[in-house]
Amino acid sequence: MTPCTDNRLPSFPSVRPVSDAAISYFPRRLVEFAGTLVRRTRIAVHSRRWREDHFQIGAVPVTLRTTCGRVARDYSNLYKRFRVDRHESPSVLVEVTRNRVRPFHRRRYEVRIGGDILFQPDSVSELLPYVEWAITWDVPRVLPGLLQLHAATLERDGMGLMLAGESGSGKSTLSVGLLTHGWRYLCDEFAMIDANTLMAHPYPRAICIKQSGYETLAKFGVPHDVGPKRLKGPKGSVMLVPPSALSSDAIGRPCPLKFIVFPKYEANARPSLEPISRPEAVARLHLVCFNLLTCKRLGLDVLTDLVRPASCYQLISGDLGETCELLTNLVDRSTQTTRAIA
Amino acid sequence: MQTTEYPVFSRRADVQVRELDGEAFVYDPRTADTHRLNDTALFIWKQCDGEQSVRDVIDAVTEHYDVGIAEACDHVARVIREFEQKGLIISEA
Repeated sequence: MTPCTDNRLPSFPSVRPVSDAAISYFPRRLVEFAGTLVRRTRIAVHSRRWREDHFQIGAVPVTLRTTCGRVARDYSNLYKRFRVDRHESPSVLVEVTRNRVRPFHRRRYEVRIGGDILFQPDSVSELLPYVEWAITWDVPRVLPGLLQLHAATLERDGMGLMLAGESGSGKSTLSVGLLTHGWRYLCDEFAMIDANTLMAHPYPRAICIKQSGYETLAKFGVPHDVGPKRLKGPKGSVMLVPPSALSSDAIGRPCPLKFIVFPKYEANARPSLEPISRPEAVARLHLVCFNLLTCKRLGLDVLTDLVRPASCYQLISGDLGETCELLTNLVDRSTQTTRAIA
Repeated sequence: MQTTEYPVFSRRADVQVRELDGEAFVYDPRTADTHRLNDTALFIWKQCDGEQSVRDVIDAVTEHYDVGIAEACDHVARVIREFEQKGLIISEA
């Protein structure tokens, strides 16, 4: 062997053509498989066609931007009466994409707000409830003048009722029940209170009924196929009921809250209303408030002013029909008293 | 009249208090905790102004609520201890 005396670095070309001999070095099947993966990934990336739909759901302007046709169709069907051409002011922008870029992983969906991934559901049937959650997540940013509480709100004769409580306290089931008793719907999950006027504003999203509530509502005359059923993560199956499916005049107008009720469901219990003090009500509302510190006006002041003219009760709810009658009578008595005084 | 042998407490400036129906709702922004004060606790809270000693507070409670000194002493000590444990008041000593 001749010793190398040349100290210059060898110059390799940066890209060398792969010879047929090199390809034949690898098993043919492996090369074919790699080629298929590359093609599929390219197809997935290039097939991302964005669709953008705009909705004005009560006080909340929503833009849904997605590459997933099914979620766009489902959401548009659920909120078709709230569709608008475009928004004049900033809206809640939710993006839903299908992630197929990672070939060895299960396909996932991504629900994003402001570019940040909030949820990654595995199945398309889970998407709709997560889209709803994502919208709610972004409402305080878009509408800082609204105090947002985890509470259902309904209206009857211009008087507002708030049902405040944690998940499982029966807010949504009671909302459906009250809708069939002539009440009008503002929202089943999120009370939107104007921090200056203290009026409750409608956000008439589809009412989310858990599987455990299907039977109760069926006994109450609400068919169990009135809305699409979707998976909601660990909560299992949920039914999304458009309020317009329950009553022709379902959606209420902005109104002052006259009654603040904290429901607690007890199976087979006799429904009862127990008055509670206003400071107690403020303390409880504070626990279910989402934007106490980020609201335009100090949340504590809003809560105090909200509770001051209202009557506050602890509700033990049992039978749905009796509970709805109890609440309806409460409001009707108040209306009669107001009319008598006037 | 200020008596030096009794401690003096003052309310924390950043704690927010809203009065409603003779009671009060206290919000501590440091811990995000909320507390309810009944009318007696609210009265004692107002006396914790950094000037009146615990003895002055006891006297004020005795006058305002028409109770004996022993009962007032017991009540004021309990409420002030609770305020202090929750970090709502600070000792001026």
